[in-house]
Amino acid sequence: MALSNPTNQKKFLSPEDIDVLVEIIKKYNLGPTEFFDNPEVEKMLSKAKTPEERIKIIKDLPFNKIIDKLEEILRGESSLDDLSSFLKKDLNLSLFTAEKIAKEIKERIFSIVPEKKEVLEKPTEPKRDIYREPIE
Amino acid sequence: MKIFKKILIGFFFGLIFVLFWIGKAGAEGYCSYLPNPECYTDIGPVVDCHVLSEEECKAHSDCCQWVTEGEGGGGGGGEGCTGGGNTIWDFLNQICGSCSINIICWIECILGYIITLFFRLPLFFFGLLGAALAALLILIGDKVIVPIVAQLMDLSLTTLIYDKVKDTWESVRNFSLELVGIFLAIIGLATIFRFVPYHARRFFVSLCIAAILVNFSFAICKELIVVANDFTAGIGNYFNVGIITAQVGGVESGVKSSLEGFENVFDTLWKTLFEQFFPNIWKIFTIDGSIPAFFTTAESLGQPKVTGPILIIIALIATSFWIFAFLCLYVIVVLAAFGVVFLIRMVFLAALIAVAPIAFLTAGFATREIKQIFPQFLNWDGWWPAFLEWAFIGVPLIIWLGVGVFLLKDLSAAAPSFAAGGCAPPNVGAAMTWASGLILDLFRPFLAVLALAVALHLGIKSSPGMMRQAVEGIFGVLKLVTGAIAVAVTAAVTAGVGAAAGAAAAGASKLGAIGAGLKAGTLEGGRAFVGSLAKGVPGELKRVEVLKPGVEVAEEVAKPIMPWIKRPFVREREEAEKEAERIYKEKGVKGAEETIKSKYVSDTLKGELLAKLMKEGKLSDELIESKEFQDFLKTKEGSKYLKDVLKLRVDLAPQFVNPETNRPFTPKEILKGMTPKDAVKIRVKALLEPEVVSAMSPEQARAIVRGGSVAQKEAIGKTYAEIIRREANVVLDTSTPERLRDSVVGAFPAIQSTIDRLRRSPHPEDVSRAEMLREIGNAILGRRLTWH
Repeated sequence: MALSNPTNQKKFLSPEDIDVLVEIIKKYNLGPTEFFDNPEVEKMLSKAKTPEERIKIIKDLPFNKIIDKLEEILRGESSLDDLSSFLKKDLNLSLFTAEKIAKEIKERIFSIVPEKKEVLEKPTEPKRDIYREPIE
Repeated sequence: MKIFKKILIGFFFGLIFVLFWIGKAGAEGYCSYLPNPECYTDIGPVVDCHVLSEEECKAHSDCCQWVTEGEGGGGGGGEGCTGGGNTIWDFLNQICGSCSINIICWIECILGYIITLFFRLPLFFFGLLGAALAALLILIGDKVIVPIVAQLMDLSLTTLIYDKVKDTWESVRNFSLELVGIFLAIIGLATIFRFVPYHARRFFVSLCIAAILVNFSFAICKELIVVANDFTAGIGNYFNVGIITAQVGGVESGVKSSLEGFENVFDTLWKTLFEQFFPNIWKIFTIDGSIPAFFTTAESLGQPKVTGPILIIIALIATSFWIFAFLCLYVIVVLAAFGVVFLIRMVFLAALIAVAPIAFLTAGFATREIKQIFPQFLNWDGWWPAFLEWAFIGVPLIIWLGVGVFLLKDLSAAAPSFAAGGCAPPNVGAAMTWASGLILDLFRPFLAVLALAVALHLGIKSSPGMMRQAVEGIFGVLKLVTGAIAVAVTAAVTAGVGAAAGAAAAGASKLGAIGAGLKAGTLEGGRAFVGSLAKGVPGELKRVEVLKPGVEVAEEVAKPIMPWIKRPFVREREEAEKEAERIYKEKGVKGAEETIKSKYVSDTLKGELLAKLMKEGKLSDELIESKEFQDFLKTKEGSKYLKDVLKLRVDLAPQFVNPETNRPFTPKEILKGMTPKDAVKIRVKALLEPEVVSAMSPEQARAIVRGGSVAQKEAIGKTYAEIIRREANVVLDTSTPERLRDSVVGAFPAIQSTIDRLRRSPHPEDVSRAEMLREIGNAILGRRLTWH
């Protein structure tokens, strides 16, 4: 169930939220989201010599990093506005990609619809018609 | 022509018989009612004149009148008197008395009576045959069955017989002691290899105690039987059944029975038959003489006035003797079954004592595997209840025997027959009709016999399982006899002389064909007959105004306790559904659970209550784990709900036998048919069993990870860790979801290689387990399985 807003009481992502996140990660090719029976993960972990090293490798996966960040946001320890800069900085993404991912996460996990820019129809002053102005 | 001759000869002898009877009957006087309004209340006569002796009758001269020879029938007390006439004039008055001085009416009536003899005579002999059969059965009961049953009880209530099995017991004990050595070796190995289910901490002490008790099992069992016998003796003496004499100080003989009390039962039956019941047979000849009243509802010509059809009334009288005989047979068969229970008790107890060492040993080493290797009576769980049940079976049986004898005596004494005095009370307004008086007269002696038989029957029904089947057999025989009577009576009423003779033969032939099986038609006839009796008799009783206050009071008293009394008998599905709804509504979940656990509730009602609890999602683990509930699930009715219950508690599957394979259910068999939606309902206790989670499909595991409660998810996580410990020999930290995740990552290579190894296994269940391990492992690492 997608979250209705970031300020609700929930402090952890639900399995459905994680499903959405997995979709986004796969879409932007950010790394593995399945672990067992995944040759990529096996290869990464085979380099590690100790359990601690394996834990570090898994924790550093974008999947886990993003979840940690999102849960921080849910707990109120971080702001949703910082998400794009986090993605850019910690995952080495371009600003454009980071903002795109952040936008999608906000919409699909936090259910935040971007506010439509209000078109203010200010009465504009009619341009002066220099030709019709009375000659002072 | 030959048939015609036979009929004429039969008729001639019948006439002689009637004349003989007229001369003989009513040699003594009787006490009759006087039509004094002060002698009657709304509920009946103030004095029961018809049961009084001559002196007593004369002492109540304001309400009663002693009618001696020559005074009956036409006298002041004539109305209502049915069998007391003792002269030919009395007899003529009874059959044609209303003709008064109308000579033509007299001639027509007498001729009509002679014609009705064609029907009366065969029905008389038919009734006589029933009476003879009843007498024969009473004699057989008294002289054959009672001594045999007494001997069987004697034999069962002594302890000498059990010494004969001591050699067998010793052999079994030696075998058990050898088993102790094997069990100790198993415990030792299990302790070395840290195999917790057989660890020494769990079993060493209890096994040692059991090994000691094995040596004393014979003495323990024998002492328990002595206690049970003494208890039975005490209760027998308390109820004054007159059957048991405790052998105080007797070395080994225990108790001695004689069943003297039961001989009195057959004396009472004999007296009931010949003193209260048999005089009714003469009514076949003394009820009215007019042909219209004989076949239709026309008014009769005799005194007292009787509403026809007379043929039905006399057929009822004739049949009543067969019913009495049938009840005597019932008493005999039930009594014989009573004796057989004691015989089987002895055999059963001997067998249970012989295997007692193994049972004692299994009490000290109660693992699931041991229960499967030594099932039922070889296991303590099956042995102990069976031993107690059979040792003390005498207690309920003796109580029911005592109650039955009391009932027979009391009800026999409280059932004065109108026939005994040959006179019914006169009509007091609409209080009692002649016909209803007659029906009461016919059926009251049945109550006493029936009460005795039912009491004995209930006693046997309370015995352990095997005897219930014997009782069902008794019912089969009784149904057949009832059917035979119905066939004979139906034919007798509808087809006259020849048909009646044939009917008697048909009845007799049917009785002889007991072993040949029940024919559908006969059974249906029997059912219809019994059904109409069941419907007709209470209806007739209700019509008797004098009984109404009593019936109403009884109904009022019974109203609050009726639901309790009714529960064991609520067997109709629709009725059970309504009762289940009512209990659930009034007493809630706890009340419903208590009702399901009760022994005194029908299985149908239990089933409906269980269905209700399951529908509402209120079936508690406490109820599921209770012995009473599990016993119910093993019944025919309970087995309908077994799979649904096991879907909630898959861990309990091995405790129940799968009727298709005749082996205990496996968790896999239960999980096989479960949808992911069902899987979410699996209880936490079941999910804590590695055997259950191992048998799950990846879809079922996924359903719980996504849709399960916090407790279910935690259980899945912990059980996953246990499975990994067993399969990969890796210990995972399950204290928090984060720690579990980290430890799964730490053990990733070991878990992955375990998954790969299981996939290569030739066993499909290993492959399935591998998929489950992958699914839950990914759920843990993918942070979907958490229990915050």
